[in-house]
Amino acid sequence: MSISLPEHFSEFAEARQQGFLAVKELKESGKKVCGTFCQYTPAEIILAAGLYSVGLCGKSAAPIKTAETRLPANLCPLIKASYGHALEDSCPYAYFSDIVVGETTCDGKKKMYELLGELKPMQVIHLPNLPDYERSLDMWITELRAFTRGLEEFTGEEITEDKLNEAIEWCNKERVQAARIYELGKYDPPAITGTHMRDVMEGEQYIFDRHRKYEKLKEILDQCEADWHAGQGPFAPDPCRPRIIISGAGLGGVAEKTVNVLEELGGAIVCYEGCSGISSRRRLVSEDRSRDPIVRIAEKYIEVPCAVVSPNTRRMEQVADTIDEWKADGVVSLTLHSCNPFAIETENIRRVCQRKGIPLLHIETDFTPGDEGQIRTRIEAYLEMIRKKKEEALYG
Amino acid sequence: MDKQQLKQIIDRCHQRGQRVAVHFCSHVPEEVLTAAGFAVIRLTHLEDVADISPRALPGNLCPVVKECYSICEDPVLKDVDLILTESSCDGKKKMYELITPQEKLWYYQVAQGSDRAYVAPLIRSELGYLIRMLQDRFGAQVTEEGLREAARQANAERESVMELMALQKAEPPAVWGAQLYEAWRTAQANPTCEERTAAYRQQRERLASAEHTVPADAKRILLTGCPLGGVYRKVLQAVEENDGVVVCFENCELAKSSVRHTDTEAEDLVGALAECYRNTACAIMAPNDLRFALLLRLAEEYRVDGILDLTLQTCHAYTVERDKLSRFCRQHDLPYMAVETSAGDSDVGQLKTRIAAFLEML
Ligand code: SF4
Ligand code: SF4
Repeated sequence: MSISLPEHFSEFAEARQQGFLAVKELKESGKKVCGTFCQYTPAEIILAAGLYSVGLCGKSAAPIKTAETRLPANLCPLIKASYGHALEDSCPYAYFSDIVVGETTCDGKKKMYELLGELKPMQVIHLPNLPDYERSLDMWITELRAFTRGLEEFTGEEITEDKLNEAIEWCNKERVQAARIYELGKYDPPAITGTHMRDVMEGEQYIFDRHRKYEKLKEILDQCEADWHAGQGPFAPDPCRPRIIISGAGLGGVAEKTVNVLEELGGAIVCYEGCSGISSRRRLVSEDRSRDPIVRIAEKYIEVPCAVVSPNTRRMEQVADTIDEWKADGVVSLTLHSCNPFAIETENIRRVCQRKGIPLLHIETDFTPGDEGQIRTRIEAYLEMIRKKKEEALYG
Repeated sequence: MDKQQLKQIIDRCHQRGQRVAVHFCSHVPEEVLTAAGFAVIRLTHLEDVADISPRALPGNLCPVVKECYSICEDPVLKDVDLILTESSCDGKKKMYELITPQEKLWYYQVAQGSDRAYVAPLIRSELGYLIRMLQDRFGAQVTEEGLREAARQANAERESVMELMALQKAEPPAVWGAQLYEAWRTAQANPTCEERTAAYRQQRERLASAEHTVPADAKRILLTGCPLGGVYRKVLQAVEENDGVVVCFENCELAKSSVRHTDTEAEDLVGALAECYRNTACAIMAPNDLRFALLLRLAEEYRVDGILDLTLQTCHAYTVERDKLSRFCRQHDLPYMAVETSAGDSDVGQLKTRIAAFLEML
């Protein structure tokens, strides 16, 4: 075996720390950095503008106190942490961002961006509220064009159709690769752990050399497959192991006490659902060069399965399909404190699960310690219940 | 309004052959519904509806969202013909999806700002979809002349609300804020634009000739922030039992929706309507410069002594806007205080203490 897996995974897992240096080097070489928050941000347009994007979603409780001098305490920790970092200059990625892109996703974020705009050069993209091609595509295209123009003004360089086409094709390639990560979860037992899936998805935002990143990830995925076929996958065969889908957004700051614990206690996370989940990765931007690239980008991004749009019928259909396809035994919805859209939508996901005959566990948490014990107990009981159900079905 | 009254109103409309639509938000273009022959009720609060929100909604949601949900699921809405939902705040737009059955709903899309190129075309197109739905679902026709007439009526209604509130411009103000609000509530419970306009005017007459009991030294307060829904009583009490008097309601129920105006002479009427609705000084708009300008104007017109920003729990649109608003008020030498509340009486004492401290400082 030529490469050792853990090492490669840890490169992604540690990318956020390592990336500090990388972004500094980028800046020193005269490159411009664009901070982003959300899956609605069209990566293609940023890439075509020649900017390097980096994720700015807060994941730590440290800057929250500072943020609360301006923001209400009763607000999602991700919003507070993100703003707090910018306010106290405590996140090198926010610090090094030449420009920041935000979207009018949830109310908290969209209003926070008004304050962030006082600290940083910002572009805010308005989203449709209704995820409907017929009714919303026009406004969405208008906004993406305005965004493109904004970046052009910022860099002083034209974003040509050619550049957009190239970016579209490259980002599609990355998407196909990212979808492969989740495909590994379909195996029985899964060929990758959910914890590693997360490490990769989180880490990849902080590796700036896209080609190197692509190759590394390819090696990892190939290796996972080879290992599985050699009977050396991360999970021992166990027909009763609960196969879980994680649903939700902005999990960066809470994964350790939820995702990791789920697997530590004998569950397998087979797929993620939500904005950085499977459905976003599967649908590509059309590569039909005879059509306007901005329109094609708009068509894809209107489908981001985020809870901020309504009615979100498409997401519910996707959840149902993902449950079937990944043969999931349960869905765990992770939401951050006072995140209204995801908390409310969890009820609708619960109804989907009910129809599918599988249980949903809703965990609401934030970035501060204190609730680990309680979360662990709930996860334990949840997994036990599923395991028992599977055992009964199998052995009577 | 309580359930009994609402039921009577619905029955009365049906008896005279009129369909009934209900909605919950100032962004909803009532003109279109009026032009289609509907009675239109903006349900801001229903007195005795049972709170069934714990069945489906998170406990920390804003009380307005919870109440909307409870109303929509209550049998009292069984006979209405249309529930018009709107994508205003996160809480409401997501809550609407949980209502069963969904057949009576229509999702109206609201823009998230007023200063962008997409806004007017989006409103225009949403008006078009709404008109088409009314035609397809109900066979209701909306003609250009009908829409123009409905827009005239809506303008008149808005003016009558502003005139009612203008009673408070006097020094001392004509009545207590609580009296004014009750008068508004009574008139607002009518199901058509024309009936409401007449009722607001009547209420104005009544209050103008009522006994004037507000002392000259009462602190003149402008109330802004979230819709007052079911919390108005305790808030107004806290102000008015502590040497204050609410002279201006810069919120959804009164000023925010009523300062808007449609140019009914415009050749492009739909464009004029879009322009009217674009001018909604609501915090779900980002940025919401209109609210700041409106507040300043009203503060001058009503010669207010202080701004009270009332927000409801986890209404992030308004709570996050507080920081900007407080700086704006400081900049314009307007004393400002924010208070947060929710449904129920558990915080009455605390509200009183905080508001009393603010009033004393003025
Ligand atoms: S977790 Fe919820 S409230 Fe927080 S940023 Fe995301 S959508 Fe908004
Ligand atoms: S008060 Fe805020 S959260 Fe409540 S319904 Fe209004 S906008 Fe929504």
